[in-house]
Amino acid sequence: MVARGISTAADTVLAVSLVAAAATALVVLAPVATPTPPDAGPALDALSVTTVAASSSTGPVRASLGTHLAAAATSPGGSYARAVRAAVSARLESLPGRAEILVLHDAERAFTVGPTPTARADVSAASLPVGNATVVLRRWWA
Amino acid sequence: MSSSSDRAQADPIVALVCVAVLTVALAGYAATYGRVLPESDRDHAGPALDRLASALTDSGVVHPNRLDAVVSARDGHVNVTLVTRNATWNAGPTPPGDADSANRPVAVARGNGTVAFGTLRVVVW
Repeated sequence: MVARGISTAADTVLAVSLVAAAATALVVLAPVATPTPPDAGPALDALSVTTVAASSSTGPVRASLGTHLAAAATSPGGSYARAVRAAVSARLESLPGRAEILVLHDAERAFTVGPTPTARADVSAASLPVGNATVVLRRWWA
Repeated sequence: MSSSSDRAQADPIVALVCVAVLTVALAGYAATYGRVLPESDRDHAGPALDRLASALTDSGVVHPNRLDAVVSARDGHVNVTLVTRNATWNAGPTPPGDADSANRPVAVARGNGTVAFGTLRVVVW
């Protein structure tokens, strides 16, 4: 009877060890949940139609940010481009995570606003053609 | 043939202790399982945000004056907040602290014909 009792205890220790091993394997082998990057589509849609007055050489010009970005891409170093960059940057900073605007004009990167994602960042992107330019928004978690 | 005393069951106390230990171990495994694996059925705010954004939007722009009517038309518990740099609109009862929420950038129509950049936030419980 004593031997049977010891055997029962040994079996229990073995069973508990197996359960513990299974729990450990569950923790170790379970995929780590990585958050998907914030969706760039709705943000670009909202940003591109937002109306803003930006100072130009001929005075303040009120237009959508999409139009401003396409126009600023033709001369990215001017005061108008700086005004547009400030207006866009203020909106990008209100978004969760990080965001960058690229305006591709004549197949070149002509105008950027915001930080550039690292090579390892999981990025979502959306693009919108505006005239001869393409406005691209990239979003990712910091 | 062996006697019946040699084939006796284990000591009841030992058996009960072993069953208790096994039960605790299995409960621990179940708790670990529930904590480790991702939960997929608790996102109520995302679909609600899609529906409410669609109801509030016309030609790609959210109209704040529709907020009260759209929220009151829903029979569930929902709170909607629309925020721009210069204004905030809210409709619905105060949500509890553990309610699900989701938000999305939206373009907001203003009275003077301009469009502002804002955020639509939906809380459901």
